[in-house]
Amino acid sequence: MDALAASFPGNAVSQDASLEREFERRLADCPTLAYRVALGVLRNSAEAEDVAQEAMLRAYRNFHRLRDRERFRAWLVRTAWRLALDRIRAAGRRERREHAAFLDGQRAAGIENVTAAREFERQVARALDALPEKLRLVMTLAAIEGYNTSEVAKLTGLPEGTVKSRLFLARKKLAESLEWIVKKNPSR
Amino acid sequence: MDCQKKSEQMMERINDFALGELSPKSELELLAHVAECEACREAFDQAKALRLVVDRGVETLIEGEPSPQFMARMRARIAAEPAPKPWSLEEWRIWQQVARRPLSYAAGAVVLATILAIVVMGSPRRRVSAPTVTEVVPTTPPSPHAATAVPKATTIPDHSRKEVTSHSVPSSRIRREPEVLVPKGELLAVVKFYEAVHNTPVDSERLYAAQQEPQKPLEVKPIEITPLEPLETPVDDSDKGPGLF
Repeated sequence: MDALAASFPGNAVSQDASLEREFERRLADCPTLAYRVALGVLRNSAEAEDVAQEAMLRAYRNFHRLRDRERFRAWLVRTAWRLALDRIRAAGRRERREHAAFLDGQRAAGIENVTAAREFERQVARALDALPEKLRLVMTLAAIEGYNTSEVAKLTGLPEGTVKSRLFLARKKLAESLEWIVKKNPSR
Repeated sequence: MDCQKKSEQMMERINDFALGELSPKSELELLAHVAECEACREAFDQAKALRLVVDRGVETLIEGEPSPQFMARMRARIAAEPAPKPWSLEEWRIWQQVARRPLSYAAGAVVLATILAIVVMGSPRRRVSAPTVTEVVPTTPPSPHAATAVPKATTIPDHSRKEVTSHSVPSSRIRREPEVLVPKGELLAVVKFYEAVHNTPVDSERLYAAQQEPQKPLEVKPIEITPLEPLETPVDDSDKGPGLF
């Protein structure tokens, strides 16, 4: 068998042991990322889990076709983001999403002043939703990645300079929307 | 630092800090300054709080982990998934070859596209077909003999067409023949014009001869004018008749 045939992926992920192992390895550190990306759009943990699973399932189906496997995370992020947006658009349930965010008891647990925290969360969610999609994606990913612009650049496939400028614009718009919170409550 | 003079510049720096745009070096300088300057410290604290609100707010929206059952459900879904369609060896072989020399294959594609473009654009231009000329003849009112009347003999015998009233300019290149109305007696001029424009010889003698064939002269019926019959009783045009008044 020649070298070319030897590199043939054969029966794709499920039957190719090395590919399956590689997929497993990449899968292990991605659930939280996919979940948080979806949560950034949907604000509902059950729906975010659903979308994250769907994104990972798609990744599984097409993993053997991915040439640059180092871009697996970026690929997964984009898939999760688009699936989440599709879900929001299809259902037209922005209002429900906002409401669901406050009924999500798991995430509200541990906050002392639950009402104030929910109100704050509502304002931030509203301001984030008002951002253009490009800015929203960069802002969400930056929050996930600890505001590391080079990581966000890798995930989005954008130059670092573009990520920085989008992040700057996103923060500026959010700051304009949320400034009154700071003025009202400087201790926050 | 003299904040009276540089207050605008300082506020810009503070805003940049709030939006995460400040370089680490500039951030250190700013921190050193606000430690000393009371006026700038307040603005700095507010910018810091705003940045915290923005960043922490977004983090709050996305914080959390998937449930412990997430991976178990994920694996169950993957197990239930049919095996992805594998690549055929032939597909894989082609793809590998293309992937190894992408520039060569791209160049090949460009060459092929160029050849195709030359073939399509350089092919012989569609010939302009010789027009079919239709002579405008005076129409005669329909007569009972019309059905049996011989069509006007203006067709060229070896170029038979279904339209009996049209002349076809003989040409071996004719594909589609647009019809041209030619005033009576101007056929030769049109043929010459056609020859001059298309540089194609036309058998004008035959065409002209066909046009010159004796035609049935127009039959103009004399107009019959019947005289008015004389009135039996003369009309009284006097004012003595019964009037309205």
